[in-house]
Amino acid sequence: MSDTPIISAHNLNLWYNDTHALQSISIAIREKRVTALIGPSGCGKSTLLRCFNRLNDLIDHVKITGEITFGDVNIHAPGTDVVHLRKRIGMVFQKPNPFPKSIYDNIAYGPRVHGVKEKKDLDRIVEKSLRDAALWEEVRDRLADSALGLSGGQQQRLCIARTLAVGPEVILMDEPCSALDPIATAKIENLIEILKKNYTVIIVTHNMQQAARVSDYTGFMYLGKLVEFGETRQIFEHPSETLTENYITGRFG
Amino acid sequence: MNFLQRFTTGTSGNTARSSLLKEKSIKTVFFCTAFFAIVVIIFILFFLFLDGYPVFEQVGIANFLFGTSWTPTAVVPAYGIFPLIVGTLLVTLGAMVIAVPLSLGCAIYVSELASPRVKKILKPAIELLAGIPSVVYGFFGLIVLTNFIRISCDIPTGETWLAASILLGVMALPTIISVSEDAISSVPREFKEGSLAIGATRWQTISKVIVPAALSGIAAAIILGIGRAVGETMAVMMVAGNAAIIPNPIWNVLSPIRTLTGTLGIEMGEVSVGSLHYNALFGVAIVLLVITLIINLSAVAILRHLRERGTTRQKRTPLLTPERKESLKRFAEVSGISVLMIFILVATPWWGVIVFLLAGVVWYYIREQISQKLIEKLAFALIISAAVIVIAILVIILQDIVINGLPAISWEFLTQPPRDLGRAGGIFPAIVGTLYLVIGAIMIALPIGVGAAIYLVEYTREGRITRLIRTGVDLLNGTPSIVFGLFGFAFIVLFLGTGVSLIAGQITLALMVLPTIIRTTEESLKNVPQALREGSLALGATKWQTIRMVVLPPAVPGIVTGAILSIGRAAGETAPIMFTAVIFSSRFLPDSVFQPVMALPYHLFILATNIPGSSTNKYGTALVLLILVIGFYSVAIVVRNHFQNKIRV
Amino acid sequence: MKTQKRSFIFLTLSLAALLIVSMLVAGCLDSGTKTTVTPVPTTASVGAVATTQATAPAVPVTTAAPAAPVQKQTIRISGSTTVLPIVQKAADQYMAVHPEADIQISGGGSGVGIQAIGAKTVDIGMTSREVTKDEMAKYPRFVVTTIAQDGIAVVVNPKNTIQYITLDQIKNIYLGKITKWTEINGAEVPGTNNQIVIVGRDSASGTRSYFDETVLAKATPTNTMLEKNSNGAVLQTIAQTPGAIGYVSIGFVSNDVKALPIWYNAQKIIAPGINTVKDKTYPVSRDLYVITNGQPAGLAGDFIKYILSPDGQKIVADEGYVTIST
Repeated sequence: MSDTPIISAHNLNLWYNDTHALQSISIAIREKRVTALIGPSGCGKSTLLRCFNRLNDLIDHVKITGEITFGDVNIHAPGTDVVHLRKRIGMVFQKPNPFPKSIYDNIAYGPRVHGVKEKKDLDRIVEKSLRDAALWEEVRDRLADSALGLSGGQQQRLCIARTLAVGPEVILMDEPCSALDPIATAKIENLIEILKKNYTVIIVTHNMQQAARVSDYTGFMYLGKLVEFGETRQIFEHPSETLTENYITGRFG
Repeated sequence: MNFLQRFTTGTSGNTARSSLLKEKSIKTVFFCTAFFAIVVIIFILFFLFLDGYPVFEQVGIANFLFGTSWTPTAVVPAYGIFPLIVGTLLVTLGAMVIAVPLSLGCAIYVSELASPRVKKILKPAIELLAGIPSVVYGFFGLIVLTNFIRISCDIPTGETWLAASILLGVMALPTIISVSEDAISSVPREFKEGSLAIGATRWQTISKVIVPAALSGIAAAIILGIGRAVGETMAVMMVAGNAAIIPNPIWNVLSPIRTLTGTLGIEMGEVSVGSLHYNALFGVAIVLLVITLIINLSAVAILRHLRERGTTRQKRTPLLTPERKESLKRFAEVSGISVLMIFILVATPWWGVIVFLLAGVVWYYIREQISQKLIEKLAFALIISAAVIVIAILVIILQDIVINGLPAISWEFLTQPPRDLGRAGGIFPAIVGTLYLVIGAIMIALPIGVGAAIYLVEYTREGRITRLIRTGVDLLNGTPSIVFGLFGFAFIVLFLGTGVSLIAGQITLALMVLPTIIRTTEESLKNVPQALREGSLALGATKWQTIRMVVLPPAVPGIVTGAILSIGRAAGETAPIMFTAVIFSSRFLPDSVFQPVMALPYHLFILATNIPGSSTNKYGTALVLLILVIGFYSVAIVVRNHFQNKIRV
Repeated sequence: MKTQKRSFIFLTLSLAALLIVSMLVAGCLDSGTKTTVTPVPTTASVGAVATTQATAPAVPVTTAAPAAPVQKQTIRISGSTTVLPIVQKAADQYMAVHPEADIQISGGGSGVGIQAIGAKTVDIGMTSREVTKDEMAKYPRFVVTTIAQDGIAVVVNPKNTIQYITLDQIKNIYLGKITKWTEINGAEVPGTNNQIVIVGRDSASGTRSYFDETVLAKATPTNTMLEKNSNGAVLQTIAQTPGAIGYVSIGFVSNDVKALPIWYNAQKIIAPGINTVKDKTYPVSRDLYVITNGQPAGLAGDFIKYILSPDGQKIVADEGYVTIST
C-alpha cells in the first residue's frame, strides 16, 4: 500500500471577494487511493477541489495564499503550464456536461486537443476509455449518435470516460452522483472501486454513506476549515473531533 | 504510466512555450478586432460631435433645440429644430398607437391561440414582413396610401402625419410581434397550469397571468419598435409632406409634418462643407443620437425594474407602489380612450363620437353582468381580428407590388441598363450594384464583428469597461441609418476624398451592420452553457481550442443568421448609400471600387419621386428588390429553424 | 457527428449558392451593356430650331481635342432635376456614338450640383439658377456655360376651373395669404372644399431659388408648403391632388396638369411656352447652366460641346425646353 502523497496543500487560504472561503487548509492526498471530502453545504469542499486543477482561475475576485504541490511542483508557481496541469488532473462535474457532439467525438475531444490525430489511435483510446468507464457495452453500436441522447447516468459515465481519455493521474469528482438515480449511482460507485487501481481519486460528496462505502481516506470540512482528516474507518468509527462526530451521527448537517 | 499517457505527455518544455505563443497571438488578433470596432464607434461619435458643435456654438443650444423655424436657405437662415423634434415624436407616437395593440393581439394569437399548423406558417410570414425594405413601404405609401387617405378623409392631400404613422406602425409590427411572441412563449408552463387549475378562463389566464409575466419582454419589444420608428427615413420622406411645422392643433393627424431623419435625407446632398447649414445637419444627427441613447437607457431601466419586480427580493422601495400603479392604470385607460375618441372624431362623421360614447356607457353598466365566458369570446374575437388585420396588411402590400410589378419583369428588364430616364430599359446595373455593395459590406463587417464579439465574451471579464463598450455598441445599433449615411458622406466621401464611390457605400453599410453582427454573435456565444467551457478546460484544452471546438460550433447558426439578416438589411437600405455610393444612371458597371454604382433601393426611390410616367418600371424595380431582400431573409429563417430543430434533440 | 457535418454542408452550400448567383449575375454584366443603347438617328435638325452659339453670360467653350480614346473615359454629372432630362438624353445619344465614353448622371437639385462640383466629386454640375456671389467667391474656378433656356410654369390640377392667374395672386398663395381657390375669380375645384394645397420644392432646388427670388421677391413661402425633391415629384403631386398648385420647368409640363397663363402687367395673358420664353415675354424665364471647374476639357468639354451643337439643341427642343439662340 503506497502512501506517498501525490497532491499536498500547505496552509491554503482562499477568499471570494471578502469571504474567507478556505482557511489554512493543509492536506495530503495519497496516490492511487480514493479520498473523500465531506461536510455540510457551503463548507468549501468543492472550492478546495477546484483549487487542485486551478479551475478557480475562471472565477473573478478570487485570492489564494498558501501552497499546493502536485508531485514536487508548486502548481501556483509563475510559469506553470496550467493546460498541462489540467491534463494530468482531470475533473468530473456535478451535472453531466457532455458536448453537443457525438459520443465518439466527446471522448476523442481530449486526445485530439493534445495532438493525437491517427484514427486508429483515437479508436483505440475511445474504446478503452469507454470500457474503463463501464459504458462500452451500452454504446458500442451507436458511437456516432449525439451524446445528448444518453440518460443522465450514461452521460455521467461518458464524462468520466472523456476524462480518462486524456490519461490523467488524478481524477477530481465533484458530487458526481447527486444528479443521478440510485442504480446509476451504484454503477458509478463500482466504477470508482475499479478506477482506484490506476488513478488517484478525490471525491466530494454530501452523502456520508457514499463516502464510507467508497473511500480510503476522508476529510471532514466545516465552514472553510479542514476539521479532521484520516483513514475512512477511523473517521467514521472513532472520530477525534467532537464536530466530526456530531456531523457523522447526524446531529447537524 | 499507462499507454494513453504515452500519447499525451508531449506538451511540456518547448511545445508548451510555442503553444503559449500561439494562444497569445490569437488573443491579440481578437483584441485587435474588438479594439478596431470600438475605435470606429468612438470615432463616429466624435466626428459627428466635432462637425455639429459649431452650430451649438453659433446658434446657441436653446435656439437650436427650441427655435420654431427651420429655414436654412432663406435670406436670413433660421436653424430651429423644434418642429422637427415634435414631428419625430408625434409620428412615432402615432405609429405606436397603431402598432402596439395590433402587435400584442397578434403575438397573443400566435403564441396562445393559433394551432401549430397555423403557427408554422404565420411566424415566418411575420418575419418576412420585417424584410420589406423601407423604400418599398414608402413607394406603396406614396402611390396607394396617400391617395386612400385623401379620398376617404376628404382632405386636399394625403401626405400627412397620419400616412407616416400608418406606414411606420406597419413597419414596426414585425419587430414588436416577434419579440413579444418570444416573451409570451417563454413564460413557464407552470404559471398557465396554475391559473387554469384554479378555474380561470383562458382569457383571464392570458390577461392576468401570462401577459404580466411576459411584461419585460413585451416592454423590450415596444422599445425596439419605438427605436425602429424614430430611425426611419425613407418612408417618412416619401409620405409625410415634409413641411417643417408643428401641427395646429397639435392632434391634427391630417397635417403635413417633417421629422429629424427626413430633414437629413432631404438636405444632406446640398450642403457645402463647413457651412453653418452643414453643421446644423450634424447637430440634427447629434440630437437623433441623444434620442436613441435616451430610448436605450430607458429600456435598460424599465427592463431592470420589471425584472426586479418579478423576483421576491427588492432592494429598494419599488417605484410603482400599489397606489401609484392604480393611478397609472387609470391614467392609461383615460388617455387610451381619449386618443381613441380623437381618432374617431377625425375619421368618422360627427355621429361617430356619439355612438362611441353610448357604447361606452352601455359597456360600463353591463360589464358586471356579462359572464367571463362571453368576455373571453369578445376578447378572442378582437385578438383574432388583430392577427387578421396584420396578415391583411401584408397581403395588400405584397399583392399590389406583385400584380403591378410582374408585367414589368422580362429578360430585358433584368439584363439591360435603363433608358429614357428609367422609363424604359432595365435595371441590370442596379441589381449588380446592390450585390456589390452588400458583398463588400459583409466582407468588411463580418470578420471584425465576429472577432470583436469573441473577444468581448470569451477573453474579457464583465466589468465597467465591457459594460461601456456594450452601451456604445447598443447605441450604434439603434442609430438611424441616415446618420451613418451622413457620417459616410462627410468623412469618407468628402474628407477622405474617395468621392461618391462603391467603397464609400460598402464601408458605410458595413458600419451600419457592424453593431448588429456584434450583438447577435455575442448572444449566440453567451447561449453556450458555461459548463461546456469548463468541461473542455478541465480536459486540458487551451482557450482557443475550447473556443474553436466547443463554443463556436453551437454558436455558428446564430452567427450565420445574424449575418444573413444583416445582408438583407444592407440590400434594402437607401439612406446610407444615397449620398455615398449611388448615381442614378451609368452605362457601364464599375470596374473599380472608387466608382459609383447604381442600386435597386435608390433607383426605386428616384423613379418613384422624380420620374413621372415610369409606372411599370417602378413596380418592376420594387418587385425585384422585394424578391431579393425577402430571398435573403427566407434563407436566414430556414437556416435558423433547421439548426434550432437539430439542437432541440 | 454526421448530422452536424450535414448541417454544415447545407449551410455552406446555401451561402455559396447565394454568392455564386451574385457572381454569375455580375459576370453576365459586361456582355450585356455594350449593345444596349439604341442609337438614335442623328439627322440634322430641320426647322425653326435655334443655332449653336452660346449667348451672353456664358463663356465660349474651348474646343476640346476629341481624342481617339482606346480605353474607357468616365465623367460624372449631378445637380438640377430640371436640366437632368436634357443631359440624360444627350448622354444617351453621345454614348451611342462614342462607345468608350461613360457618362454617369444623378439628380438631387441645383444645390447638390453646386456642392458636388465645388467638392470636385463630379466633373459637371447642373444648375437651374445662377451661381451666387458667395458661391463664386468660394469657388473661383467655376466656369458656367448656358445650355438652354427655360420657363417656370405654374401648374394646377386639370379639375381646377381657373383660367389664368396674376403674379400677385401666385405670391399671395405661396405666402399663405390666399387659402381658398374661391378667393380667386373664376377658380373652383368642384368636389372639394376648395382649399389650396401649396406644393413647392425643397431647399436644394434651383427652380425654387429662382421662383422664391423672382415671384416671391425673396420672401419665404408659408411653412405649410409641401416640399418635393424634383420637378417630377411636383408634377405627380399636382396630377393626383385636385386642389394643388405648384411650379415646374416647362419641359415637364404634361397633359396630366394644366399650365396657367399669367396675367402680366395688367394687360397681356401670357401662356408659358417655348416662344414666350424665347422672346422673353413670359415673366418667369431663366437660363439653364452646366458648371465645370475651369474651362471644360477632355470628355466633359466634348460632351458640353455636343449639347451646344445642333444635335444637342434638338434634344433641348424635343424635351420641351428652349434652345439658346444668337
